[in-house]
Amino acid sequence: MSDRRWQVCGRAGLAWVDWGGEVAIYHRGSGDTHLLDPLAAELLRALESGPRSDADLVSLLSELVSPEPERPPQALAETILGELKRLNIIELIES
Amino acid sequence: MNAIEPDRLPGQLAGSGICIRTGPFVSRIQSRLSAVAAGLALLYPDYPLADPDGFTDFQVRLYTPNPLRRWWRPQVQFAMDGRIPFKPLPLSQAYPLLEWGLNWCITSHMHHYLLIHSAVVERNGLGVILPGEPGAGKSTLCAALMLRGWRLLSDEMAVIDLDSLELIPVVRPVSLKNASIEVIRRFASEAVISPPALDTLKGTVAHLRVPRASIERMDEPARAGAIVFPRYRSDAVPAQAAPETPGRTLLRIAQNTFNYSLLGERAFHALTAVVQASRCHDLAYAELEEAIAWFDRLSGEADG
Amino acid sequence: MATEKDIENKENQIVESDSGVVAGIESRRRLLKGAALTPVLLSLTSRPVLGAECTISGFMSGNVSDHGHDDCACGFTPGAWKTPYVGDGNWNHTPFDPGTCKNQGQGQCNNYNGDGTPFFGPSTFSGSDPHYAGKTLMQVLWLSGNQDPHQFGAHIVAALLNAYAIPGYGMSPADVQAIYANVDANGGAAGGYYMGNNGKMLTVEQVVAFIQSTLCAYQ
Repeated sequence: MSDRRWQVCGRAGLAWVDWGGEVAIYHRGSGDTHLLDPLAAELLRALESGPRSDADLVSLLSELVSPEPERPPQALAETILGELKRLNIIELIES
Repeated sequence: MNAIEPDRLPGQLAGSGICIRTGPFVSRIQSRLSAVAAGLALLYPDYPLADPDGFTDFQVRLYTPNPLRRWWRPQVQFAMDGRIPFKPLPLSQAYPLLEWGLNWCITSHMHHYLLIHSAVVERNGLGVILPGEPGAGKSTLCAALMLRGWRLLSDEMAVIDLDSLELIPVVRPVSLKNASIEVIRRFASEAVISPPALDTLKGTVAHLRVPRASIERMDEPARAGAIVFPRYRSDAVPAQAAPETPGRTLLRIAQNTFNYSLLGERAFHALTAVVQASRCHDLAYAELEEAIAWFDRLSGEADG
Repeated sequence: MATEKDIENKENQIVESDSGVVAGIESRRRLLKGAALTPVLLSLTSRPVLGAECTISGFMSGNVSDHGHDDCACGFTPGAWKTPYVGDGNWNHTPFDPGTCKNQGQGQCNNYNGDGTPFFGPSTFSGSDPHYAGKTLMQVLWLSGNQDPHQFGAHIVAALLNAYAIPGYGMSPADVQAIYANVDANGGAAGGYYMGNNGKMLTVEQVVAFIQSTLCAYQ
């Protein structure tokens, strides 16, 4: 579980528009356009610079979010990564 | 087009056709059908004709596909440059088919522009895009604004130059559907409206003539300064406006862009720039007068 | 009514940044607190998601485009198929039977008996959506709005008839049947969805919009 590694789908990358409270991306590989909340956008930015492990991303989240006992960073990361994966924005790297 | 004597129009249409210029596009229209001649005479008298020997963007022909069928279930066929994009329709829908066909010519071929399904109006230098989401009633609102002094750029599509990001007018008659025909008749008794075609694919359809002032300015682009998502709602008294976020506006307007997939990232950046330059709102209204008052304030004009 | 404040809403702040450089962690923390309840707020799918290439090129969930018809024959609408005696939509070009007329309205039949081809059957659709169970194809075309959520039934029937009747229609009967089976298995017309192979989901409304993009009705 914790040794999973993620990357952005396709090699063409993303175009970004950041309005602060919401972030639009254009995924060049698919031609899809998405509107992300800022936290999802932060994770995706990290992934854009190179593949990241679950542990990397959870640690990034812990830096970004004030701790909320009912939603630990692991659960938050799981939600965000699951959604980004469902939309074919990111994918797991086969090891 | 006033230059053509009314009784010579049908002959010219049946022969080499007439070349009408609507903004940047020149269409050669050929037809022997009387409904086409009557519709053009009613709705296009103030339009400039283009040189019949010059360049045309679209060669459009409306005709009866099977002469024998005329006696049984008469139909009309639309062809552009010899291509037939649609199934034939009942002959009574000849005029609406001409207007739909001309829309199709532009949305299917003019991919050097960004084409958004929306109405576009302008006043005091403020270009307003009214995207055509289902249930928006954009044409009704657009017609009412036009009849109250707003300049019409288009009732059907925003045509945006990908380099300058200007809104290019493609001034054509406004398409009214079903109840909105009567609404606009009541709203402005002076409005010139074509005879309704019943039972079309969109229900009852009629077209509204555009005031001369908008036609005379068809070569004058505008800058988008507002994007308003109108929604007719019978309980929206008074009218309710709410700001929409730029991100949501971008996605909503992209969804209404005919050639977004085709233009890809270029469309993403162009739309982003248009959204960036615009105030973005949702507007729910029940009364046209209230909606117009809101738009007049948006364009910086006193409420009277 | 709009307030002046609405209208004075300040210009949208937009930052184009490829570098990902933003303010310090503390201000981001403030910004991000409570975020990510919905990580992805909206999505616009670009590529084809359903059926054959020909009908769906250029299709977007918004169904604003007629591009899909560039290379294929377009199909008749549900309205055409349900009134075969007043216009196009001749059932003789399909293997199905509309059934006999129960009530003749103004120049056309507006109510059909249950003796036509059933909606659920080996050469039609498989599933169990109660909206369509026990009805014929023609009866489903005639369902009123509240009996047929999003007019999904009417559109899927029209698509199937088109797949049989119209040479060059972008979908085969099997394509249409697969779309129906997928939606039926995922909740059906009321609140169900289509799940694509690529993990993309379309709502029933979006499936209807897709089918509309394959029909001749321009606008």
